Amino acid sequence: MLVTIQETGSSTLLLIFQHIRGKCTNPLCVFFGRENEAAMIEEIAIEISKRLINSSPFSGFEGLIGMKAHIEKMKQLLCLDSTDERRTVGISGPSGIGKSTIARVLHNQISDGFQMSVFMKFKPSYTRPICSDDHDVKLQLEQQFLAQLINQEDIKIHQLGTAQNFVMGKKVLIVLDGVDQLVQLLAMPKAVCLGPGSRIIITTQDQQLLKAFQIKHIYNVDFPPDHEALQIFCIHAFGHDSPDDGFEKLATKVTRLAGNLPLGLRVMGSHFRGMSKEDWKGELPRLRIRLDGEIGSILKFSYDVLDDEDKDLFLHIACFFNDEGIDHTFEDTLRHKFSNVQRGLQVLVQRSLISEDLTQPMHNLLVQLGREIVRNQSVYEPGKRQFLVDGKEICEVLTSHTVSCHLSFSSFTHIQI
Amino acid sequence: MDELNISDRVFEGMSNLQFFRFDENSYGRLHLPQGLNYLPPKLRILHWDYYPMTSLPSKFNLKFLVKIILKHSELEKLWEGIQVSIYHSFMKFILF
Repeated sequence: MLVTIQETGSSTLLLIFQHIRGKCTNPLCVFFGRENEAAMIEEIAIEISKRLINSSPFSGFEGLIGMKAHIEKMKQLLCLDSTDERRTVGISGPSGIGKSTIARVLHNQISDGFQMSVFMKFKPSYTRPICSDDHDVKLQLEQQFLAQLINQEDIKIHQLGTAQNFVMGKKVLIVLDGVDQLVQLLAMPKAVCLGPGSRIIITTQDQQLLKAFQIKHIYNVDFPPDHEALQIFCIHAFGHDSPDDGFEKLATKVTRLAGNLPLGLRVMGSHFRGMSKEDWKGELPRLRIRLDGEIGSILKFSYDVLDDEDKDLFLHIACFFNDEGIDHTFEDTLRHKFSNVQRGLQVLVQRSLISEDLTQPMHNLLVQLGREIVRNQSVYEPGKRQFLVDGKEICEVLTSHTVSCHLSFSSFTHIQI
Repeated sequence: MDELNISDRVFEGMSNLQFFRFDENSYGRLHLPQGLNYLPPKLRILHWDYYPMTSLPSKFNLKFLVKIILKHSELEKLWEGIQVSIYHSFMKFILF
């Protein structure tokens, strides 16, 4: 870290650089001080501590039900003792079963044994416009890969293969999380170019993708057995892995209704947290009608019981801020709309609708739910929706005068591509 | 790279627009052959990578703005490739 101060007329300019392999990068932060020094120093302290917090690995995975067994099986497949081999292992299973969580725990546990490591999370394809130009897509993906690898946002490359050259011959751990298109795998460095002992971990819902990429070692994440499902539910409903006294039968009944998908169990457990026995009994008939065994019905149920302001905050995150990340500007940005942004966030965390890790707060299935709710505000007239997220529709709005004229009379307030 | 030509008055019908993001991962670029006259006054987040102009519209109201990010924009040579944020509470710039 290198800090320089420059005086430019009426303001002070403070630049913070990071050294990477003896080279000075673009400034990480530039502060323009126009007011008193104390305010500026405070701002800098906040900025730096934010960066330090962001760089420490998220470690809230201790005591996750069933995780120990997943990790043991994955370690067998990864065969970490074989130090001259380069190996790729796939993790497959439906959305909400815990693939990304397994990959994150593994990454935290084993990355120290590698020269370099990267956790690359792909954006799901429903948030991306379809692009015809393969070359640009790959370039973009390589750029994201490098940005993750050296933890620096502003990277611009002009040639395919730059990422591969960067890691060539080094012992690296690469996690590719949420792969849903073959081009994502094709854009990443090839295993044969990596140094001996390197490992690649790929998580995907699509087994065919792993087959197409000829990946032999695959871990299919199974649904947890009934007793584990109950434990997952109880952790969120009671704070420990078994039911409170007198709640045994109720907890078993609700767990059965919630199915065996960990995401659903988490959300359902959180819904019952702190409820009295009478409330539990009162909820059961409603659950029997509303839940159809599908994850969508569980998530929608949990959204529907939120109050209007919390629903609105949920939609803001699903449609805009999940990609933006919830940073220290979040409250400033939304203060005019919500009476208490922090309290709203707490409610969503308590209900397991967002994660405590606010850089990637919301699960894909919940993002999809939120976007679907907004789409249904006005299916045929996108301009009447609260948020516009579909790339094609936004391009139409931006290029068509007739549509955008209409927008001034609508509630349309956000667009994002 | 897909390129989209948009009008200098594109935002005039969207006076309620508060958050706008057209980032580099959008796999496309917005072009403004006639320049840009107007940005919605209630904008709180303006994230426009490859913003094609050398300046923002002169009448643009910064009152509600919390964050501007214009990566790889033509805005200023000094700012090329650097993320810009403006905090209205302090009215000072943070680039990172």
